[in-house]
Amino acid sequence: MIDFYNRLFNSKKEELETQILLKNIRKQGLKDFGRIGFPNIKMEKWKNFNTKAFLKNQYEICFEDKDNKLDFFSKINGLESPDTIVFHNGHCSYNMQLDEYKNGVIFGSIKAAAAKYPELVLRYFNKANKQNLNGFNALNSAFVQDGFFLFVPKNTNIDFPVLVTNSYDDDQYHMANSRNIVILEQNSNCEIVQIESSTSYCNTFSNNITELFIGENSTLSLNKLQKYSGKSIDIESTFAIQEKKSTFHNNITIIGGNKLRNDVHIKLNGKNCFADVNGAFVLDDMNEVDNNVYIDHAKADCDSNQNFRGVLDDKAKGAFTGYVLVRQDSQRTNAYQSNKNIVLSDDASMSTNPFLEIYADDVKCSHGASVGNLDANAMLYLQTRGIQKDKAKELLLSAFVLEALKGVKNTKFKEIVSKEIENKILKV
Amino acid sequence: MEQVKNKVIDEFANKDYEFGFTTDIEMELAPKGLNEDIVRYISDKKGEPQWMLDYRLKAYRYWLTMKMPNWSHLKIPKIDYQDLSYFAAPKDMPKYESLDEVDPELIKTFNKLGIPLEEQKRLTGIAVDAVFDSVSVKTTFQETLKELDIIFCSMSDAIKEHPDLVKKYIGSVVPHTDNYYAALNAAVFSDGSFCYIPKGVRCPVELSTYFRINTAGTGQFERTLIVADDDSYVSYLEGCTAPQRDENQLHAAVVEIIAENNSEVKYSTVQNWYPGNKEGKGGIYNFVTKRAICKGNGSKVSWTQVETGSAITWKYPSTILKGDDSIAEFYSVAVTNNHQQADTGSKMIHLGKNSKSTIVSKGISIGQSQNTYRGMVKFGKNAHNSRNHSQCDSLLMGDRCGAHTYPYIKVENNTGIVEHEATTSKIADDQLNYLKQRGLDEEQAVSLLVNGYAKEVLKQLPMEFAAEATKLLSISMEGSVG
Repeated sequence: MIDFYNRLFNSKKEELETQILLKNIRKQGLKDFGRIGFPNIKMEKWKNFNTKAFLKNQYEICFEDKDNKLDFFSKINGLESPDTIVFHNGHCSYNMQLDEYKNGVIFGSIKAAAAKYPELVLRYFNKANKQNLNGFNALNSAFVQDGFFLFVPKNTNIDFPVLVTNSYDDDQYHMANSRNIVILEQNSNCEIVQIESSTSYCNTFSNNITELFIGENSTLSLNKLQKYSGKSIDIESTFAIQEKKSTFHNNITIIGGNKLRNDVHIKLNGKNCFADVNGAFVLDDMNEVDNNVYIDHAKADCDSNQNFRGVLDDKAKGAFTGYVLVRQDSQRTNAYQSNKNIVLSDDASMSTNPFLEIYADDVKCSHGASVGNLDANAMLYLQTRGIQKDKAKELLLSAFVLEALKGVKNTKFKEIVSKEIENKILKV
Repeated sequence: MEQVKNKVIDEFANKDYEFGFTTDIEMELAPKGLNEDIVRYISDKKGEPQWMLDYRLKAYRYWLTMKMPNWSHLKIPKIDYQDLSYFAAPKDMPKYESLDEVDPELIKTFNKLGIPLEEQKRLTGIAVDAVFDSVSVKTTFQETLKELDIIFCSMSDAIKEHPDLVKKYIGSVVPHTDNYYAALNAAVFSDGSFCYIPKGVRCPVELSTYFRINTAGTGQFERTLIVADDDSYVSYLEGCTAPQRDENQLHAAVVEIIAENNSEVKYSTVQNWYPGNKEGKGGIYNFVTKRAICKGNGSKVSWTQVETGSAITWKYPSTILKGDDSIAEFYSVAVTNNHQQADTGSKMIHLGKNSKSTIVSKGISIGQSQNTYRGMVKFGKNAHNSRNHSQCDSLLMGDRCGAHTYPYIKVENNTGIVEHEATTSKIADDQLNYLKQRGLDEEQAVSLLVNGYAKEVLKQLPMEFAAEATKLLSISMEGSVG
């Protein structure tokens, strides 16, 4: 398989090099990929995510979106933003390549940004994903084709949520390697809403990296809805570096997907940071989701919180790995991890691994995890009050899952994901 | 308060290992190194039948194909398996009929260890099998047990006298293919205890084994096999010590427990192998595989461990809950100090319906030590209505130590309930203040809190063991906090 991607790289070398000016990064990516290859289930961090079946496919790359007629934007009911960037099969559409604001904010396609501001893009490219941690990350570095770029200069607030949509409907075995970079300088605020979806006949393998640089005293919210269907495979790696007094809210909602993996790596690189990662997922059919959150308390006086809740039905498989590392001098750390799951079917399974690795003593760290079925007492309570069994189940499941998203401040987004979750729960 | 805490930690750090003496007894040592001849030598020395030798050789050949596991959170220096002697026994050991015949030096050793055989025999009624450098020295209370048809003897005797039982059960819970150290143990195990409780018998005394590594440059590989037949009950205790030496010594034991229908086995360990000096020099590498199977319906296995010794501990007493309505418990206190490293925890594999398990683990890290809890709870597809609750807390004393928690939970049905919770913190300032306001001085307050923290596990220890356990814990915890 490594050979195939090496050959692919060499055969498309010319096109790749004209894409974004990343000659060295691509080369390094290919080299790293050749060295480490794809991860497999024998590796500790990939135990719950079997890549073997889908990696048998040979995923080609394509450089342009040939059939960009679908108006996905209008499909996102009610979620409107003054600034939206739309990706179709990993390519930026609608010629909305780059928006530049008077206050210095730059938002648009990374391809366009790299053409216009090569220094700025290169200054941050692969700086959070420093070492190409695994084969997928290395592959992204080698084959990256587009993605979104957001630059918020210091002392700037973007007072509306910027919207990024990614939709996939390619029935060919193509891979889409998107690279998203978000830079918040000091004292800035920004919210990003990211919607990812795919059609039932889609065969795309999307392999995306998002690099986030959150400057001193800045706040970033990244609200994500992953609504995949059919055969699509999605691997998302998010790398965030937080400087002192910064805050990062990451809310992930997952409604289905053939094989989905989310890796969130957060480095708390200054004092008094706060990282908050929440996830809600409802899976049925043969859906497989593996969520991994790694929080590195590299400096003292930081807080972190992880809260993931999931419902699994049919033959769905779920996994959660939460990892908190508190380094030796990171005193006065507070870290909290919670993962609760409801398994509705006998064929569904759930793995949960809430890990703590602590080298400092003045800390308060705790984690809780549970896997079970619906509370029979609560069901009885609702039924004795005249609520039908199905309705009672629906109420309890929705309330259970939505608990993870209680921190979402964007009410419009919350409303939409709640609706999505409720619709999905009706099916399970 | 910082001062008091520092004092407390310093006191503990400066505490010497109490059991660091060696006993001057003439030993018979196997030549250093490991090969098929050594395996044959051990088997031959012990006068074993051919099937046992075959079993050992099979294990040895399998071991050669294996690699040392590296997934644990431990820094294990390279071990030269050819630089160890795999068999050491007190020379020309006759079979003793009474304690008077035992070498007085040995008796002295046991007395120093706080295990007066006679006294225990007389006062507490514990049947003791003492394993000294791999060879079983004395099993007391044999006659009382004989009346009830309970077999409690050394593994070597069991192989000779009860070959059918041994053949049936050995390797049935921990096969030689299980892991690197289990394979090594199966190839070179020297002795250990064997215990069989017949149907319907409730063992009236606590069965107990003491292990001690005495000779330099040896490894100890004992193998314990406990079988509780239908409707029986047994409580088994195990204690471990070793002398103070500069080099590291290897201890790779295997414990197998089989609980048949409605039987109950309670297994308690106080592990106090030599932990090395303050700079982390010397100490025992304790790489142990302990596993029980609740084979029959309604069976119960309970593990309790107090881990205070060893330079490196790699140990996960586990239970396979195969029978319906079976119950497993795991209670652990692990204390690490100086440069000690411990990676310990439990596995609960639920296969039977309505099976229930509990894990309570308390870790205390002091000085520059690293203390890891690693546990797995798995509910198989048919383990309907199963239940697990795990709690693993860590307490940190000193800013150079580490406490880590790695739980793995996997559920494959929709009727089981698993809950896991864990906390990591230092001693809370508000609790200390509360106690100080009520007239306790700081040392007493710290002492009270640490004791309270570990109490849930300590209270599980059998009464007969309490004296020694308390003594060991007073060295590790209570003593350290005044």
